[in-house]
Amino acid sequence: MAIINWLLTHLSRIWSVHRNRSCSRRTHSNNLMWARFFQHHASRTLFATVFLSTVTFAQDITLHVTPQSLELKVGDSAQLDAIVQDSAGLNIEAIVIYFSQSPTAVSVTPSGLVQAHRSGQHTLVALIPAKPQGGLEVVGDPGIRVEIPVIIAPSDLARLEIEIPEEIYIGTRVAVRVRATDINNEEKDVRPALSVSDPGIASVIAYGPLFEGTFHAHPFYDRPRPDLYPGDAAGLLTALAPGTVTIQASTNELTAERTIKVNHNPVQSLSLHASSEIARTGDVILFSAKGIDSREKKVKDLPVTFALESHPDPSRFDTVGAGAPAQILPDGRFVAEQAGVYTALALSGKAIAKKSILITPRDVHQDIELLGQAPVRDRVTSDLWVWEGLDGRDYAVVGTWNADGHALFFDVTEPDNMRRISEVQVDARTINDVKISEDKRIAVITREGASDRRNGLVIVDVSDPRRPKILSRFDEQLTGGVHNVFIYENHVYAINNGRRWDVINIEDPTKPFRVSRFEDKAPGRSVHDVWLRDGIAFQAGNTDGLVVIDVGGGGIGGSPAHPVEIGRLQNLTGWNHAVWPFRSKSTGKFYVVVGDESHPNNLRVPGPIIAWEERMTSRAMGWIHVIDFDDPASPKEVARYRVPEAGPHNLWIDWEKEIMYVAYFNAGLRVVDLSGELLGDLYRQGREIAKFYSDDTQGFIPNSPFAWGPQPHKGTIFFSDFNSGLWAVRLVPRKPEAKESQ
Amino acid sequence: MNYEDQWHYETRLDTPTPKKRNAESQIQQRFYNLEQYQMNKGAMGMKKFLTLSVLLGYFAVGLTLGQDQDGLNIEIKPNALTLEIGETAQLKATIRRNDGSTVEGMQVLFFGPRIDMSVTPSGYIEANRPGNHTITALLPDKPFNGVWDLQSRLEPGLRGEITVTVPVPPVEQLAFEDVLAHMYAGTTLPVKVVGFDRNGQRRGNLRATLSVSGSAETDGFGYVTPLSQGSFLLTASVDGASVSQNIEVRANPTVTINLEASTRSARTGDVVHFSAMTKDSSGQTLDVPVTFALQSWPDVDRPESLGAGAAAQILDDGRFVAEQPGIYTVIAISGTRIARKSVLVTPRNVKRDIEFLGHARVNDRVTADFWVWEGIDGRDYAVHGTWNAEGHAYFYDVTDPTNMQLIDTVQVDARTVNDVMVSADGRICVISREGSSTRRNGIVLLDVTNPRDVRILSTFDEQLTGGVHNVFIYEKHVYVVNNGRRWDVVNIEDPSKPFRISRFETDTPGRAVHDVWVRDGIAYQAGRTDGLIVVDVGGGGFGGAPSQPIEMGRLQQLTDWNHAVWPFKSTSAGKLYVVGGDEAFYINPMKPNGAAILWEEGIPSRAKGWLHFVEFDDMKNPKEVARYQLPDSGPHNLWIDWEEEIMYVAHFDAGLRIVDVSGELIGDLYRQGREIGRFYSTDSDGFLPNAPFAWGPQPHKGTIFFADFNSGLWAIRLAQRKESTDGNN
Repeated sequence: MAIINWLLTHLSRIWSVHRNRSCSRRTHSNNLMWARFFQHHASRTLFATVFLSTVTFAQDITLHVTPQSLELKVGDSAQLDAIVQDSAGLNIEAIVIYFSQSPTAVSVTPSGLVQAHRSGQHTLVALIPAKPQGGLEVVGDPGIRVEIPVIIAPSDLARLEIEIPEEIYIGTRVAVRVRATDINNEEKDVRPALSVSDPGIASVIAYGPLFEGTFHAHPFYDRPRPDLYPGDAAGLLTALAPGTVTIQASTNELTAERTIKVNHNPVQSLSLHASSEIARTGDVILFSAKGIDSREKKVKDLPVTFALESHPDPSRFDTVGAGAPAQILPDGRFVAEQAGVYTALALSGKAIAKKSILITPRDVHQDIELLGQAPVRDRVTSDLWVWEGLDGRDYAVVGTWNADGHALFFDVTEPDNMRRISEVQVDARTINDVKISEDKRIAVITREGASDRRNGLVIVDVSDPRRPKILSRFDEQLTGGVHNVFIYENHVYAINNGRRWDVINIEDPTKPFRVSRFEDKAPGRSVHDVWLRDGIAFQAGNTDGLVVIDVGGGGIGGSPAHPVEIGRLQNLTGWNHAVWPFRSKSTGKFYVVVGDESHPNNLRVPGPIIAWEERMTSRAMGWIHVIDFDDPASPKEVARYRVPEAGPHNLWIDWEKEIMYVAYFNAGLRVVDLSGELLGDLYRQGREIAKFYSDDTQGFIPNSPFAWGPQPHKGTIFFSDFNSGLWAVRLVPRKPEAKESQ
Repeated sequence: MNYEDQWHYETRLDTPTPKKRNAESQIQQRFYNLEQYQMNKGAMGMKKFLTLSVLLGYFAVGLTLGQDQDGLNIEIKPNALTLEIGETAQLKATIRRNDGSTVEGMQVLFFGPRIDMSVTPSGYIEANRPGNHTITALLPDKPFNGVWDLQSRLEPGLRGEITVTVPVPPVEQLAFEDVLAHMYAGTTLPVKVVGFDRNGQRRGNLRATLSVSGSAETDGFGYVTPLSQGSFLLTASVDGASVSQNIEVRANPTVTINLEASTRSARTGDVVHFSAMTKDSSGQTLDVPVTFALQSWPDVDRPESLGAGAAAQILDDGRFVAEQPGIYTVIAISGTRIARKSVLVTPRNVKRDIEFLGHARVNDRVTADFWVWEGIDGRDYAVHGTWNAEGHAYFYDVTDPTNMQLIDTVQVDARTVNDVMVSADGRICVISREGSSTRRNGIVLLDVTNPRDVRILSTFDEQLTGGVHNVFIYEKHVYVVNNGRRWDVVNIEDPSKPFRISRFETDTPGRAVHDVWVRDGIAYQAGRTDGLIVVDVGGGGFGGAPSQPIEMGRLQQLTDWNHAVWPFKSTSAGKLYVVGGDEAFYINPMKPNGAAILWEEGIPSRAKGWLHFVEFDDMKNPKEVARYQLPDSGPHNLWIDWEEEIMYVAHFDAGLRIVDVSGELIGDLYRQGREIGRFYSTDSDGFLPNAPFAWGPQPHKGTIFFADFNSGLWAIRLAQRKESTDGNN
């Protein structure tokens, strides 16, 4: 019920900006509300390229869609039909396209064929586009639109199963997992009520209803929760006395039972070991417990839980009244956010062991110095790449966004005197991404919004960056718009239309040809970015989350011509955008770092957007997810870096220095210490080394930092800002006396 | 002329004058020094911010400018100095030409960090606090005009500087704090010691080295655990001083621990009280100490839990609060006995939508504090000051918040009218003056019975020449903060003839008071050095009166950035909180030597700091228990509605914040999901475009008004709460 309540509330919010749910009658000129570029949410569109023919917007046009709403079951399909009338009520010809606001739940073809995938209340949109853009950009198209509410009834649950060990020990606690499948044999998220037959033998506590709400309920979020966010445990069970006990899990439809045995705890005494007894905030310490039974033997499969006594340093103003200071996980991993003394406790039955550790401040702050700015203020800029050219000088290329299709080249050899040296113009409104080949000779730039609807990519000879020359273009089957590319070993990995990526051979850059394609089959699939390193491709996207693919270096038979999936983690926020692999040399662990991209509602411009056309400051949300990918079969989200009230865009990780650079939109550039094992919120652990706000009073939008992408190069940190062009900053080395004294 | 008075002018962090950037840098520098000092107090001895403090400030630059273009240079003797706290010295400056010859008859002005060191213009200095302090000598370009004030010290001229090192004095005497004569075997207790240095200055929070002889163990982190019945000798030492005590150890008779929770289910931010009782085999209640530990099982189904860091906390006294929903188990431990109790925490779910009502833009100058009131004609009016401009106060009719009308302005001889307030009867408005041309600042009383035709009734500046930054009107008296050092109580029963009746001033060296707020006959004072002070002026039961203010209690805060203050008597918690707001600013790498607020440079300023919630139920022992800390931003003025238990904060660059402060308060309220709403006063046509800089809020008849430095007056409203949108009902 909760989900329905929420959806009703939330959708009514969306609908409230429309004058009529089933019928839209507006003139184009009044329609700035939707005149927004919405590329980042392009995953929600599901249609092929559409050409706008001769609709005249000066007159009033009315769009009618039948049926006005749909009620379906999972697996059902339906057909939408549209009639377009002029002000006199006469039917006229116009292109009407359809898209879904939640394509993983309900999909629709360009011709209006609807398919129901998941239960809930969803919205389809019929649109007469105003702008000759098509492609990814229709979501924000100022054209005439009608919304069609779709209610998809939940499919009946068919089976409920409790997962819990068969035998547990007194005094220990285990998670109660409940697996539910529906009549279509699909796994469902449920949070059943839990009870036990004999509360004297075991007690149970349930988390309560599944989180079906909206982030809106929490001040940090006002977007819907992601479509798929499965619960882990339904509750926790604590064993109290020997005997057998039956656990019951029940939903409205089904009940499951499981009987388990509670045994005497063999542990007579415990000892606790800490991997380190002094550490800094953010350092992960592993506690491990050893149990001895009555015969002085080590207990195997030791049933133990950990608890924590926290004593933050009362002389520090970052601890007094500052909230929760540290955490310990069930596996014994501990991390502190505040300096102080912490005591871990291991508990097993009646046995108890304690160990204290001292946490000192991480103390990694460095001053940051502004070296220079190469302002771009007449248009907004996008991604950047910095490289050392064939002549040994340093160059940067920056794309431009929603303008006239320029890529701008700079000589950045002197970061305090960066000079614009040349530009390339292609038929596009947006050059979102730019990359340079390893041999420094080739640039690949992406095209979106081309006048001829043939987007694709353009290959440029940059062996002399002062005279870049277009070598070739490649747009075959890439007409939907290319948003991101990566060059790796004579191949370009090009993301088409937010749906898939193609691998294009550029050994002869004048004659590029496709060699393969990687595409997920999930409904409403979306991929936003792909990044390669050591023969492995890392893909980030809203619905698919993180996918890791062998293209030659993964050891499972992949190659550029034959990409093979290694593993994936889907259950992120649903806003995944950028991705970076990070092999941590200080821990030997392999992390994949995934950035969100999301923009919350602006009270004065409804809809989650970058309000660039309105010239309004935008504020982003979301955070950086750190995924432990050591086991590709079971990747785990272990940490995050979240600057509250801002959201990240692109990032860069220096594997040697173990430093992450994040272009954090409205929070400017952030430089973060990623050394050591990563657990918890890195922001709260004092791992931030520096920050820099790219304020520019003369910017495209003045005083509105909107950092887009960073790249460290020869000791300088370059980054591009949407509103103000290219910046160069540098970390000021710490003075010796400022180092931590032992 | 009271020189001291003038030196303290610069305490007003939110009024950097056009030429004030140097002093601001100095203030920033002092903050970092303080931070370093705080750390030095602990044995860890971090020198975290030293780099900054060395790099910061004009004075570092001044050193290199010791010689000017005319070939003159300034020589200070001694050129470096180490002073113990309380020691004094006389500095001497000599002006020399390049050829080494001296120039006589030049008057040099000395100044330094005002809290850490006392410095007179003639170079007599006294060390107040440990650290490395910079003293500057200035030979102004323009001849000395006889008035040494803030402006004088910022005049262009030849500068030289020296560093005075004030070492942290070693501890000479040591004593145990709260160590019991007996302990129970197997229980763990913290050992706290208090030290005194040679000046008799108390030094808390010492990290003593502990040693034991006998059957007990220490963990190296300040905790001791007796192991078996008998006794042991406990010794603590710091800096060579030590103290010992023999402690009797009794067998731990605890057989059971009863652990109770005040509730089994709560929301994030709700404080749950756990209490543990130890009992022996006969069921007898014991006084054996119990410690609490916590097992956290945040709800992994929620995006705010996964990888999100520490989720909840429990204090030594058993008070628990969670930031993330989930299941939490508290464990009470006494020796080898334990007891467990779990609590389910659900989302707080208090968010409401905000509705924008109106905006009365001021963009040709920056605005300051404001007040909203119902006029005697029943219509609603607002007044706000202006800052660093021409001494205007602006009056508005705000009866219709969607159409706020400027109806009158008043101009006084001042650059800044920082504070404005209207009397409870709606007839008298008091405005503060700073930077007047005559250097006679003080206050101005206005007749606002007709806000469309505001008339000046009187001015009062006697002994208030140093500049008035904040005022409060309470029962026919104006409480006037003068020069950041003290407040005077001025009787305005006859508003045309105000007269002073009393004064409140602490004796702290370098004392600083920024704001005073009066409610129910109690005055609440916030200032950097003294923190929060509660003063009886008639309602406190300590015998105070407007004519005789009597201090009731105080809390020196750690950040030392105290600015605004609000009392909050929480009905739902049955507690008196005093909320102290910080004011401080980040140093912008684009202008590392710039002012705190970079308004002249046209660069948006970003604040830091937070709101401190201090439990003041026991005036003798106030405790800081909670905060509202918005990361990467800082607060300015606040307003708490006692009825609704809602706090409104003008949070500078983070706009207006509306926060649920109901119930008992522990921990970081921001992280507990207590924020009800927020509004960014972004104005592309602002004085600085797109740079929200919310200054002060005031709820009035269901509308939330607030003033923004860069864009004037705003009016918004909280939308009605919808049915719960979270899945936990």
